[in-house]
Amino acid sequence: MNKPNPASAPAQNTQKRTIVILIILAGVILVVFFGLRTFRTIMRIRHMEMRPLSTDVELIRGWMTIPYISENYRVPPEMLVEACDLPPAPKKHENLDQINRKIAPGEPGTLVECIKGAVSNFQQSHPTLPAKSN
Amino acid sequence: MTETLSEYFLTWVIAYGAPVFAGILFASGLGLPLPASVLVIAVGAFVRLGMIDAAPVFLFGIIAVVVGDSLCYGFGRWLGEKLPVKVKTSQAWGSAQQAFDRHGGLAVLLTRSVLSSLAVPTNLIAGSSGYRYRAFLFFDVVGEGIWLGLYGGLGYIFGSQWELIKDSLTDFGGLIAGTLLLFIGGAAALRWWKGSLQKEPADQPGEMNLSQR
Repeated sequence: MNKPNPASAPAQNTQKRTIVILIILAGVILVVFFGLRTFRTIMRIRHMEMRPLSTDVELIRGWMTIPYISENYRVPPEMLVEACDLPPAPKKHENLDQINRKIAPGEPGTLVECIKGAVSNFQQSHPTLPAKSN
Repeated sequence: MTETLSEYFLTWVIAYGAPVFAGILFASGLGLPLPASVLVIAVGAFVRLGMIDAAPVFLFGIIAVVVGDSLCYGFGRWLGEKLPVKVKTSQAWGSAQQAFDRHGGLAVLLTRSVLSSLAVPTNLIAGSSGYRYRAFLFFDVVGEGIWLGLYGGLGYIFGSQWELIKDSLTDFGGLIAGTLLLFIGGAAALRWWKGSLQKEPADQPGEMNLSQR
């Protein structure tokens, strides 16, 4: 068995102790930082009204497609196409952002706003439309 | 271009469903840095909204990600075989193999779910250290099942409001990583403290020095 160098032992100990302290410190920082953020999210969710089948137009995003919005918000696709003056048959995998770039280059987000308005109008004119169920 | 990678994949998943979802999970199992956890939450929400069927998406998803993980494990094994004999016969390598044999199952299980960013290195280490494939496969299937069930379940619960929890994934991962660091650091400090207590009463020649441990 190798005999340890008595002179290097205290230096090694100090080095090991520093590493352990740094690990604990990093752990404390991560736990405090991310713990607070997680806590804030939990609080926000607790105070929020849970509506998993919500058809709130504010949840419409640029990654959504016309068929998806049509199905999810119960709006005929032709109505959306007509309201926002879209090309008649957008591709199945073409989302609002991509169509927006084609029809209104340099004006990002305009199609999303138009679709939100069209869906909102449709919902107001058809208040008795059945909600989606599981 | 304002469209992010996850938004691009979301569009493809809502357009083509389970096959695209499975393809993304397969690629993420291989180690490509894709937003797989976000997609799993979103898919849970799409199931709730009636856009996608739960059974095929879960089945295709778990098969794809396990095949991806297994290929990654295989790559690790191949890398392990290529290591120089000097490394493979070293004491440090032997200790690492023993450590993975003891705790490998837990490591595989945790890195499939809460510490998913460490999944690829774990697959590679499992393969290269010669960890048994059957054990790896078992823990991989269980871990990925938990991941798909947990994250997909969250998406299902939140439905169309699923984006609320999307951002908290990183926070939760950070919290787990911090807890793990505290645990490791705490365990080392405890070992240290116990060692110094044992050393104190017999601080004489022949007693084991802390640096020898």
